[in-house]
Amino acid sequence: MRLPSIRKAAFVIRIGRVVHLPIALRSSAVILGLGLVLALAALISLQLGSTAISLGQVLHWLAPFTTTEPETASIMRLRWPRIAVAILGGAMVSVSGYLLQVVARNGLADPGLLGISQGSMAAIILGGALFGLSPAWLAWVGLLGGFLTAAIVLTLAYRLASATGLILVGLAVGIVLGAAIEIVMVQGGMLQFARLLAWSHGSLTAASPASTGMMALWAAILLPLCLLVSGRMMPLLLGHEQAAGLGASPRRLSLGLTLLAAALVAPVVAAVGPISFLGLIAGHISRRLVGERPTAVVPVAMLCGALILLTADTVGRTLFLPVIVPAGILVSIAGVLTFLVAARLSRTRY
Amino acid sequence: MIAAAPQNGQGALALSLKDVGFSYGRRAVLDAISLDFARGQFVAVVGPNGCGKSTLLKVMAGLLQPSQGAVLVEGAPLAGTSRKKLARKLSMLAQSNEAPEGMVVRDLVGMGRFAHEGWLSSGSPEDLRHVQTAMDIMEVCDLAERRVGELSGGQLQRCRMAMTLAQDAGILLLDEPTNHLDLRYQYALLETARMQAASGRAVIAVLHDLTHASLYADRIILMAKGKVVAEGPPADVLTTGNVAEVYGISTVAMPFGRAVVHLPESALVEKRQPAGERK
Repeated sequence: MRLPSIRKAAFVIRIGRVVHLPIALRSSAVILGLGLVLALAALISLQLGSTAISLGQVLHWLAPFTTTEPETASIMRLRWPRIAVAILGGAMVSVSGYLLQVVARNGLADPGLLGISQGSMAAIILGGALFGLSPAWLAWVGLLGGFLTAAIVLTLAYRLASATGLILVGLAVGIVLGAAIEIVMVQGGMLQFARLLAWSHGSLTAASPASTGMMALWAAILLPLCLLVSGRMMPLLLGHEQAAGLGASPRRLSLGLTLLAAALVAPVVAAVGPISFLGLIAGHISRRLVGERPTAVVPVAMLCGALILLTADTVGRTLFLPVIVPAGILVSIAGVLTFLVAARLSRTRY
Repeated sequence: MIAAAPQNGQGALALSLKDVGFSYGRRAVLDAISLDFARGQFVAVVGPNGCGKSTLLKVMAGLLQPSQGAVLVEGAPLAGTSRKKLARKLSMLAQSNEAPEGMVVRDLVGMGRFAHEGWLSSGSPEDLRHVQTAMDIMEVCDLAERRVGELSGGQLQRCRMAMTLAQDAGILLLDEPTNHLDLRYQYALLETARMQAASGRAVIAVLHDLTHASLYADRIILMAKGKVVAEGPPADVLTTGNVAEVYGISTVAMPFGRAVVHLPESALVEKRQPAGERK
């Protein structure tokens, strides 16, 4: 008589008795679909630019063991790091935002909103402008700045002992750091100001094979870690008390996730500057696509974020030529629009 | 009845508090409380607002560290136990019903299995079986695919209770479990709590309604100002004298089978002698 209430998962990854990971049909379909769209977007993005290159030439360049004419190859050498950085950076910032949304239990959380991006920025500006460190080192400096800011924000918010407190404290710390960053920027003379201004809005112009390699290294360690953690963070969504009752360690978990979020943002800030709003948009879109289960949201947020940043950067460097609009600005505009649409479409009842 | 099935763990000591005290800053909330809870018993903790009953439950769940004394879970001190290990022995239904609106009920109830799952394994057939059983008990099977935002307060509360049952722990701590529920489901939930106790679990619930407590609980703990005022079978604890002492109101106690109904004297008197008819 009774309805079968527990649907079996679409398929299960099973290795002996140790690994048993059910994967829902809907999230796998969404992940697959987004993956394909992302691949397509990357191909189109390789074609577009001040010199358009045909798809055939792009595919020829991508194919192994073939030689491409030097002209195409040199253009590609300029374009691929930028695309790779957009994909990696988009994925990292988005997941960072989602992790913070879970920790803060607030869909508005974002590394930019919690002051973490600004912490990384401030440290990187100090390291870069005053001590002249190389980009590979700047990521570590940014990490330190991000960690420190996260620690300050968490400590202050812990004293307030509420989830909304975290956002307020983050905003306050972010504003103070933002002011400090601008003071340093204004101090340094015209040329440096222009360079820092583009960076502080999140511009992918500076992407190089070196910065791509640096980001790929961080992403290779951190993104799988996020996927692993995603299976153990769901109880946090019910509040600390109930999470503890279910067998999670909410305080330790929140601390770990915040540090992870800071670590995800640091290399991106070091390479291309802060991308505000991206974590917020990608988190919202992903949750709308696959629901609230973190195991599904984390991979979908990575793909969404990558797709959004890649699209924003491609549009920014092609649509308004000869002006190149920093991707960060386009993402912010897209962020506001998405936010309005999301709020309009929201099926929640109040 | 209690001695009926010792192989079921009936009567065995599940949880004990030894001289437990707790204070928020300087204010003492719990004062030297020593209690034992046996398997197979449904114990109701009652008392006026702010008497420390929720705090007591949180201390028993390990959510708050007692400032003195110790809590023993199945004989082992709670203090050194990891949250995950503890959650396999003891499940808790917290009072806050926070849950994201987009969360699907199936996933919510499934979270009850968190302590039994690992980093790389979840949703095993055994987990699914426990989730299914819990949803059957709480009559929420038809809500399985619904999202939390679409549920009424009562439906959400039943789903959260199903989550707590899916945890399959020997000790159930319920903080005001009848919150948000209508009459039918209030009684259904209390009946569930009693059945869980009868199947060999130790069930401890903070309740507000003395009638509910007396009707369903095997034992009542009456608290006031952080202390246990009286404890024992409902009829012995819920006397007019105890109720007057703890709640500060005069009541008329009316026994109904095993239930004790306390009605306020003031309301009864007023009805017999409305103010207008007095000379």
